[in-house]
Amino acid sequence: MKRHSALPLTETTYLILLSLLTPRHGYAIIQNVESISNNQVKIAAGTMYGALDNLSKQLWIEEIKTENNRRKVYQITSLGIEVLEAETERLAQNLRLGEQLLKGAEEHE
Amino acid sequence: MSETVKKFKFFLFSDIDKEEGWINEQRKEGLYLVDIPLTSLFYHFRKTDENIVPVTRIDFREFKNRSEYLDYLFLYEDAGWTVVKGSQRNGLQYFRQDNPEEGVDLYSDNNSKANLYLRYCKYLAIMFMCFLPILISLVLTSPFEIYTFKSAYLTPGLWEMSGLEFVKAFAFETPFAFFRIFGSWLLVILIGSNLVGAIINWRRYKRLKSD
Repeated sequence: MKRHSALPLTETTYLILLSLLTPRHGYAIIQNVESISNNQVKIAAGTMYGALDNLSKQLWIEEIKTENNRRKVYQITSLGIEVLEAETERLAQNLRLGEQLLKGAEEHE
Repeated sequence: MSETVKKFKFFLFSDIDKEEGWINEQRKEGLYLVDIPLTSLFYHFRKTDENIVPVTRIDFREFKNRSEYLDYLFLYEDAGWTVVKGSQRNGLQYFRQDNPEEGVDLYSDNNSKANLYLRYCKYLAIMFMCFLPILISLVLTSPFEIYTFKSAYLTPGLWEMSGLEFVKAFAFETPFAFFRIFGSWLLVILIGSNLVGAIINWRRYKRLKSD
């Protein structure tokens, strides 16, 4: 089966997309990514702004117009979800492969 | 409230790393950046007696509209970055982090940092390409000229004179010659520095991108 052309995603992109399954503004995404990655991934402000810019241009995320909020709120699009699902499947395959082969290697020792 | 410590420093080439480096060097004396009244010439610092001295970082980004710019400022502010100097169209944005962790930066991965250098490089290249035709057309249409030592002296027959006559004429014209040389070369240098800056930033971009 042909692989989705956007794959593989970087870890930062993957986590941002996951985070935007719920609408959030920029800094909330930074905090959420830090939390769901167990403090492993801390995205800096400039990197986040650039990522939001790129993901918007690729139409994987979109801005939601809100009444009061002075900060822009983003949310994943259906195209973004498609990419997310494809990447998750790719990661799952590699995970299965890794577990299988490493276990096999262990048994031979 | 402590006084403002003013420092003068001239950066000929548009080098973010160098400028940041110099500004943060002043932290050793407990100084942190509070204002830049004249871009890249005068820097205003304030002294703190605390153990933690704020860190300054320089970003480069231009914004198509006000709402994008405000959103950018909000994001940076939420992340602890106070604006020292910057504007929607100027490009260079100076920020300060008041309670910095060691090595805190605006960028957390090589790719996005590389793109910073690329943005700045493109801007400098465009600046150079805008000013170059102006310089060329100035040179082609007299009386503007890029003067060398000899050609800066316009007194007719100066170099054929000798003795006291020569010394007097030479001494009289020297200040004018100096300004002609200085003025024309200053223009060349200022315009050329954009090209050099573009090359510096392009190299940085290439190096980071390949990591």
